[in-house]
Amino acid sequence: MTRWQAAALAAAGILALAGCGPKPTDSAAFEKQAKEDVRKFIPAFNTGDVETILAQYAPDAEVMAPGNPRAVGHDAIRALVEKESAGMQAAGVTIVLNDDDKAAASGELGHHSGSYVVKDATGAVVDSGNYLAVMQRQADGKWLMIRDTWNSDRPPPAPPAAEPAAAEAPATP
Amino acid sequence: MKVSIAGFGWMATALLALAACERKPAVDTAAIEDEIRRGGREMAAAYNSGDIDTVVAKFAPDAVFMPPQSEATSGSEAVRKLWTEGSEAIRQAGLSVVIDDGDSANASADIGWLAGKYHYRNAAGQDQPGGYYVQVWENREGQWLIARMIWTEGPPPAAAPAPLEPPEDAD
Repeated sequence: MTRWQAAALAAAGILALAGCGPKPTDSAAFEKQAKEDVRKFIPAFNTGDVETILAQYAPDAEVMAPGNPRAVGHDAIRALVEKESAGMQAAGVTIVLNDDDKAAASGELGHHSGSYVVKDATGAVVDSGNYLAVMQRQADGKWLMIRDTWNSDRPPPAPPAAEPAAAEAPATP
Repeated sequence: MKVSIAGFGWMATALLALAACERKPAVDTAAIEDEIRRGGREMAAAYNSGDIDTVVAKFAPDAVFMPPQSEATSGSEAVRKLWTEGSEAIRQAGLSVVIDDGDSANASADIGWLAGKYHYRNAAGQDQPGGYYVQVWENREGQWLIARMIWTEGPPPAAAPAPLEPPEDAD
């Protein structure tokens, strides 16, 4: 074997090795996508744009919304999102994301979590909470949610035993 | 016949490379999923019995913890405080946490997750509504630890018949 043939063999071996094995996951790229996605998801939720929301869930995704049965798959998630979004619109409240979300990925899995507030028409915060989504890389390389849940971090409503406090009554001029 | 020997060399290299590509990574994700499932149940058992050291040991030092009806928190001390208060509250009320069957888990490279439902059981053995949980686990230098945890709360669980005082008085 000539010297150049040996060099070519070595190069081929290195190239082959580089092409093998698990592809390294670009956690920064994942984080960028996850953060962009949620910033499309929330406005879509506020306006009832269900298609934008469904496009972020894997076909077999499971949404575990507090106080609701598990929603497994796009049909069930569609029904859940339509119901929840309509309820929020009827109540005149919108969800606003905080900028504290964090995301990381390894292999085919990633996670994304953060917090939100719920505001009424006057801009007053009426609720707040946290969310956590598990995401999986699909065959086309896009990351989609496979599990998703959230909760309110507000204390439960006080039992209606005590007499109503008059403290919050607005002062009349 | 130098050329054909070189040709064999190329073919052998290509075949070896293909064989290497076909081989699955050595990570046994089923074993990791089992470990995560077992870890989740061990944690629930320890929580029920007040063994907070075992609970806290399941969490990464920088774990983010998102309980319902309470602000998200991070760090071992905050996690210990929350679990200690929660564990005391449920034991005082005679309740225990039961992890429902039908949970799901998966792992890939250094991330795994466990998700499902839980409920409460009172001292009389009656089941009470609970909620959902999702745990994200990460491989931290060979040890699988919880990096993120969230759960939802169902309606306030009723204690065993005739409790002495309301179940929750923490904070």
